[in-house]
Amino acid sequence: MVLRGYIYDNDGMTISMKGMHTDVSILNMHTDNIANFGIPGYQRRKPVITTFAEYLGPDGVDPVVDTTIGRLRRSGRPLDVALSTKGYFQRLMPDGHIELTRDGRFELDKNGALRSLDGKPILSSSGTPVQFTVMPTNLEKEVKISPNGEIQVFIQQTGKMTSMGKLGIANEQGTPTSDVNVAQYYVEDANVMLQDEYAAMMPLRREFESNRQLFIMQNDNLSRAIQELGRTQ
Amino acid sequence: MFDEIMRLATRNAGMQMGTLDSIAVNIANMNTTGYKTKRFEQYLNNDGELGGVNRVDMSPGPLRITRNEFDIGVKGFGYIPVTQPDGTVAYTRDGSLTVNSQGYLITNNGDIVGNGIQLPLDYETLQIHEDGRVLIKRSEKSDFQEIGRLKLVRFANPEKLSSIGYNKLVATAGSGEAVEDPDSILKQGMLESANVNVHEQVEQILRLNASLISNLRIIKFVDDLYRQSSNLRQ
Repeated sequence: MVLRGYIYDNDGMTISMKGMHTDVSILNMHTDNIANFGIPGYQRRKPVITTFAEYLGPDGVDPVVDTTIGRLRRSGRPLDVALSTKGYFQRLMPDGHIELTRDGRFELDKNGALRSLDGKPILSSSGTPVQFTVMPTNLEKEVKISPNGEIQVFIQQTGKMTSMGKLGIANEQGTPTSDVNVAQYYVEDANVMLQDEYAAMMPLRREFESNRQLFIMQNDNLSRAIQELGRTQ
Repeated sequence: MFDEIMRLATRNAGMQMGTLDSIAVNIANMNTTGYKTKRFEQYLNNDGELGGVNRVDMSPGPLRITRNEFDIGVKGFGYIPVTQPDGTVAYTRDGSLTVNSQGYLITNNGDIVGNGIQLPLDYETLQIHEDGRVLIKRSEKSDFQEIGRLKLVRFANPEKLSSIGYNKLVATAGSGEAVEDPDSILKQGMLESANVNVHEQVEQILRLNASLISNLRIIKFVDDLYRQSSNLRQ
C-alpha cells in the first residue's frame, strides 16, 4: 500500500503556532518597555504588525521607536541635560561610529572631557568631542548650558563666561539640527506609561490562549482523523 | 524567547535592588559628618542591555555650628589631607578632630591631620583660621602663636576618588592628583552635615517600587504563558 499526501505547510496548526510566536514577540517588546521604565531618555518600542503576519509569524512584527518626548524631571545636577524637542545627543563609540541617545546625564573626567554615564565622549556641533579648556571647581555655579546647547564656563580671572563649544544635537537620521531646546538641571523620564503597557498585555494573553486552544482542537481533530482512518475493521 | 524575557525581567529586578542599596546607605548615613550622597544610575548600553554605575554627589553639605574648637568644616570643594598610620595620605571632609597622646591633631579615626600639627601641653585656646593657620595662646595675657598650617587640596574629578571607609578617600587615576586649593576655607566650630536630600530619596523609592512590582508581574505573566505552551496537549 502506498500512502500519498503531504502535510500542508500553512495549515491551521502552523498558523496557530505562528500566532503564539507573534504574541510572545510582542510581549517581549512590552517587557523591554517595562524593564526600561526607570531609564532617563529611553524611548518605548511600539509593536507594529504588518500584513500577512499570519504567515510571517514573529518576523511580521516591527519594533517602532515612539519618539514622543517624555516628562522632564528636575534633578538639580548641573551636568544633567534634557532635550525638550525631538533630537538626540551623539556619543562617540570606541570604534569610531556615532550612537544617538536622549540620555543626557553627563560627567566631566579629570582631563575636562564631557562623557556619558558609560564613559563615551559626547560630540559637539562641530563633530569633535566636547572638551573643557578650563576645569570648573564649582559645577553648579560655574557651568551654564543655554537652551541652544552652548556650554559656558565662568572664568574667575577674567570674570567672564567663556564658551566651551555647543552640544551637537542630531535628528533621527543622524544629521545635525539646530532646532533644539536644551534644559540644564533636568533629566527626561522614559516615555513609557506602565498602565498602557499592562493594558496592552491583557488582550495579548487572551490572544495567546485562543491560539493555544485552536491548536489543541486542531491537534485533537488530526489525531482523531489518523486514528479513525487507520482503523481497518 | 520566554527565557529571554525572564532573564531581562530578573536582571532588571536585580538592578532595582542595586538602587535600593544606595538609597538605604544614604538614609543610614543621613547624620554622618561629611557624607556624600551615592546613587546608582542605570543606563542602556549599545546592545540594549541594562548597565549601572555608582555615582557620588560631591557637592558640599550644609555646615552645622557645633561651637567645639576642635571641629572644622570645609567651605568649598576642598579636602583635608590626613596621614594614616602606615604613612600614606588619604583625604577627608570630616573635620571633627581630637588630640592623641603625643599632642598631635588627629581625626576621629586616629589619622594625623596634615603633616602633623603638635599642640603643646600648656595651651589655653586653639584657633584655626579660615586660611588654615593653626594658632594657640598659652595664657590669657600672651599673644597667639602659629604652630602649623592645614593646607586644603582639591581634585580635578573628585567623583572618582575611592572611598576606603571611615570617611576617608584616596586618589585614583580617574580623580587626578591633589592640587592645593586656595578657594576653600576652613570654618572652626562647625561640621559639615551629609548632603543627603531625604525627599529625593523617598521619591526614588516610590519610583523603584513601581518598577519592581511591574517586573515581578511580568515574571508571573511570562511564567503562565510558558506553562501553557509547554502543555499544548490538553
